[in-house]
Amino acid sequence: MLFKVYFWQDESVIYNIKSGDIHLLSSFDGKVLDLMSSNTKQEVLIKKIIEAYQIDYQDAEDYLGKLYDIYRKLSLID
Amino acid sequence: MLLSQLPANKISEYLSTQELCFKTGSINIAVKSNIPAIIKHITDFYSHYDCLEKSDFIDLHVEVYSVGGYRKFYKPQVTFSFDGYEPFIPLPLKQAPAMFEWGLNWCIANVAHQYLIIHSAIIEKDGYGLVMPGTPGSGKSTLCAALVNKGWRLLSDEMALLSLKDGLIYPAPRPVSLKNKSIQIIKEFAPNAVFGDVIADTLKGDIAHMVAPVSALKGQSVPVKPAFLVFPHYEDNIEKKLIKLSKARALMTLAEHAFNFNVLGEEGFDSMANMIEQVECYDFSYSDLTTALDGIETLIQ
Repeated sequence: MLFKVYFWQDESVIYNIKSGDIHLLSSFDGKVLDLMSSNTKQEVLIKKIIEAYQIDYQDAEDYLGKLYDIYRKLSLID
Repeated sequence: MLLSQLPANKISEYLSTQELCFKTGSINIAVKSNIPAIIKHITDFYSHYDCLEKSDFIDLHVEVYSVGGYRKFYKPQVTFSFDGYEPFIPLPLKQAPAMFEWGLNWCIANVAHQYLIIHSAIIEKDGYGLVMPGTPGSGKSTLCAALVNKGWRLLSDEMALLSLKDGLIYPAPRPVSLKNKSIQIIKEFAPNAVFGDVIADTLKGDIAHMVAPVSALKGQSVPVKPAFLVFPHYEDNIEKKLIKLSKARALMTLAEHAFNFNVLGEEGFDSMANMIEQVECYDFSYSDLTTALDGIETLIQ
């Protein structure tokens, strides 16, 4: 595991175990990160984003792509 | 035995010839110094602290001494050493008591890693621990000094020692350090409080120490469960505002005030998160001390 996460209502705090950095995320984005780290299939993640934000498939795919980029930059996922 | 119960001149003799050992809550200190101002400071501010034997476990061995050479004749200076290491550049001799207190803070922040150390005042009333982290100028020491003169128990005005083992905050009561305008404000607010001389023109401005109340020493072995986390902000001419903070945001801010978070890593993060889990978190802006105290008192009502 590269991080630890604590959830409180609609927010979450992520602790990067390697760097010691901490990040404030929405609770949903924290949950997506948690799912990404457990190798959840992309289709499942997109479905969750569509349900959470009521957006179409393409927008959800773009959103997920951005999350992957951000989390990789922060070394929270491989 | 209390330091005050030592035979006459023993404080001075131990300080200057060997070490004077005493307990400040969870931290045991051994001090050596031949500077008259330090001997007076310890006599004035620590006489009601428990004396320790040299054979007792000591957390910090510190020495405060005059810098030698020609300088001592025309511009005398003081320096502070911890286990032989001098972490600071020397200061003017008249600032010796301030350097002693700052030096102890530095030592605790750098060695007491059995605790997550938060730059914070910590006080207690009716079993409720109030943690007030703050940067210099936020008013944490002023609020702390006022509240301990209104019946709250002082654990520390400068650092909260959050145990990694049990999540409780352990006391380390020492003199409350007040700066600049706060000195007069607290002298007027608590005319019976005992203060030392004002140490002028330090790096932090004018400094005066207030003797820790007797209640702080009676309870120096009693840890407290944190119940409230309040980030104070002093500003001129504003209405008092006590705003509830989300736990996630409070944790982000708290991390900025933890001295050894980076040293403790994951364990420190878990300790902070566990503390956040059990406290109510607030942002508190104020300009007037009396209304500020009302705001704080309402928390435990």
